[in-house]
Amino acid sequence: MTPQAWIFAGYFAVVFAIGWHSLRATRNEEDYWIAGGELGWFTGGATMAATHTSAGTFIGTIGVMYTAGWSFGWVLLAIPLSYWFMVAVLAPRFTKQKELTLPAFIETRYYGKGIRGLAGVIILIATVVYIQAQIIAGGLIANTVFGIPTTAGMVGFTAILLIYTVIGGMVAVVYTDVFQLVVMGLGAVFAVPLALRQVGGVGRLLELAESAHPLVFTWETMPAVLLLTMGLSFFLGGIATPEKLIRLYAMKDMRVIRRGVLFAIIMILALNLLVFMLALTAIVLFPQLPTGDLAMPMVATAVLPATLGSLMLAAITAAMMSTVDSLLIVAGSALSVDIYQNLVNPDVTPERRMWVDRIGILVVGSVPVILLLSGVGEGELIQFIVLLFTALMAAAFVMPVVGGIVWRRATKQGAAAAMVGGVTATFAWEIFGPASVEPVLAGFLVSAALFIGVSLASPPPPASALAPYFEDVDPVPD
Amino acid sequence: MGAPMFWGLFVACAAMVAGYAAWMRWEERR
Repeated sequence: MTPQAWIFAGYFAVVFAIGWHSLRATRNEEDYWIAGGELGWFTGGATMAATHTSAGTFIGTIGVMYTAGWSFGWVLLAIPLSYWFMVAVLAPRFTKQKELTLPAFIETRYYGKGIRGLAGVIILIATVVYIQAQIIAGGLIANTVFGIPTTAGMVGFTAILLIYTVIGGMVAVVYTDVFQLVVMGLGAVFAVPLALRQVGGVGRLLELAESAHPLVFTWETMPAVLLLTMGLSFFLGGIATPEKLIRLYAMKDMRVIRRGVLFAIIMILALNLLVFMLALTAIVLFPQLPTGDLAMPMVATAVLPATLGSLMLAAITAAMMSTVDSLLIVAGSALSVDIYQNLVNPDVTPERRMWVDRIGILVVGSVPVILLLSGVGEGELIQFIVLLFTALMAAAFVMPVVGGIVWRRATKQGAAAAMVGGVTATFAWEIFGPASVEPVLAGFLVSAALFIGVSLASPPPPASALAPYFEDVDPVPD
Repeated sequence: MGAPMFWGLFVACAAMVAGYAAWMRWEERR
């Protein structure tokens, strides 16, 4: 085996060991979906940061910065702001009553099983398509590292993810995330000094970058309005995605959440800043790349020594796996808890529930690869929905979640209209609207208007729906 | 031109972390 293959073999061995250990730590559904709701700040924050950081950070972000220059980096500041909002405004009431899934919160706050099923269906479809695109990327990495065909890589990648996620559930996801965050950190921390040595230090890097790309340190590549709308869509996309909200339930209490999110913010900012510096190195060393997406692979193969280059590829794999395993949990719970057990077969015995849960993850994890192998969905539609994924989640859930927490008058009808209208408007804007405005903003505005308008036009919510979240509401009024 | 915009982002990120940490302490003393 080559050194590259050894690095990857060792990496997968650690992931499996964690999965196996997690099987014994998982005793009930609460363990399986929210890791028992007892995580501390370190594991909670690490899984938040690892889930946030996807292959997109290492390939897409570096690519945009390679083309658009440093001004794009300032959009990064929207991320800590969205986490801050989540912890300060959303979390205190949202976590008063712990649930296993985001749609379960929707059912409690909006007093209906149907609306919970609706939320489950939106999450399921968007997430499965997103997973499908990540699996394609996994196949490409396997092809680069091991020289095996891309399809074999996709199957192998799915199998590895499914084995530890199905057996260990959220516990396995959380502890593999901690490990994968370490791998990502090592990749970035070793790569940046080496890349800097190649160009002769930070001062020299700035000079050379400016001579290779004269606009790199100006605000001219991206106008302020564009940066602000991008920042706003990062902010909205960050507040209410299911894979983040579920981690608020997984952490022990508000004190832990505040500390965990501080840790996550530090890790996310540090990783991004390191990756940004690699983008500058790529501008200096490879000024003529046809597309920015090649910047990271070029740095990994041409700048770093072979062993470190494969550590970088392992870091990208870790970024991708730690995002996909969290989405498997989200999609699997939507299928088996929010759709099957909630609407189709409510009489599942507690002993059989764990099996239904595992089958749910197996199904949502297998469907993408089966679709890909049968030739469905390797085209533009997938890319289209991936780009829209965060926008769809934001347009569907920001209003029902944030609005439901801060506004007592919010009703079931308002929330349902906001979800359906937000998703429809996001799609419609992407197809028909001008490209100068991000689809998430259009989707969000439609969702907000419907949420408020329809809520006011429908009868107020019952006290039983508000009592879990507002301490002054009596669940049984006289 | 390069240096202020480059280091400015690092300073802004540090300020964001410091701001969050200060808010956290204030929230818990309340």
